[in-house]
Amino acid sequence: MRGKAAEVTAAVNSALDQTLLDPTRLHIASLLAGTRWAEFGFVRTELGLSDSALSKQLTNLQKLGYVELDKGYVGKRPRTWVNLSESGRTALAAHVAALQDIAATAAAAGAQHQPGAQHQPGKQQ
Amino acid sequence: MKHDTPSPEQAASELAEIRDRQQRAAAKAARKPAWLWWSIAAGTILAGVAGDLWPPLGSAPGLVLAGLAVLLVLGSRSKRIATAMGYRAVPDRQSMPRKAVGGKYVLLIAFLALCLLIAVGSNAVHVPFTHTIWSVVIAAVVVLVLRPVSRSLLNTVPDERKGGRGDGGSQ
Repeated sequence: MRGKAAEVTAAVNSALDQTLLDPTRLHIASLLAGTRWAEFGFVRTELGLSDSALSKQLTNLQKLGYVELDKGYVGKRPRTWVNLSESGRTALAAHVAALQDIAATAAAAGAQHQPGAQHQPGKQQ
Repeated sequence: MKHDTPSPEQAASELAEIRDRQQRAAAKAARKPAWLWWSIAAGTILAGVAGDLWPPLGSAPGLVLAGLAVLLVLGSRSKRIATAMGYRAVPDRQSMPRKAVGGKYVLLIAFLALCLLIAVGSNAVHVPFTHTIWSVVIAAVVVLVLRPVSRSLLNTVPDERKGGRGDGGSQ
């Protein structure tokens, strides 16, 4: 029983995306998943990050192919747009599925334990 | 830079947070800039006044206005045009909260029904400055009803969680 649980845990661990286990990167990815191209300033405001912190994270995510950056002008103002690439969306979906597995496994284990496991305070088991 | 595997509770809370953030971002990105509502209202009144002052124009100004509105909606899906219009992001339509999407369609159908009613009514009842009167009514509906209702729909909280697979059902 323990062995099977360990196998499940190992499988789930390998499915989790190590990049997205970082909370800031996960926040960026989940925010960008709700948009198709977002302005840099929008992402910065929504996440409450500094320019440099966001820029650093985006560069790292871009290197991994998770986000696409596009620089351009609107009128005379320079703008940067950010998009979660298809591989970024796939990675986020896989990460979400792995998190769902963790939560579902725990829920199933809890349901199995409940019927006979009535805790009676003060009574020796 | 190895991170620990989240506990079931952490996993459930992260799942909820991911969905909330995604839906809130989509809803915020879909919020129309204020100038757009006022421009539609002003354009509608102008079209109505033009229709009354120069009858040969008929419904042409209204059709031009409707065409412009469609162009603006389609244009807002391009990041550069969207930014120039005052949007800060292009929303991912599939990430919108269900309530907001459903509400938007109901609102659109109600608005089209009102326009149809007005078109039928203005043909049946002949009063001076018919186009102007009805264009003012439509403009008022746009600014006083559509704008706040649309905004409140997009401010709705993300979809309620259901007890499905991994939807935080570990508690």
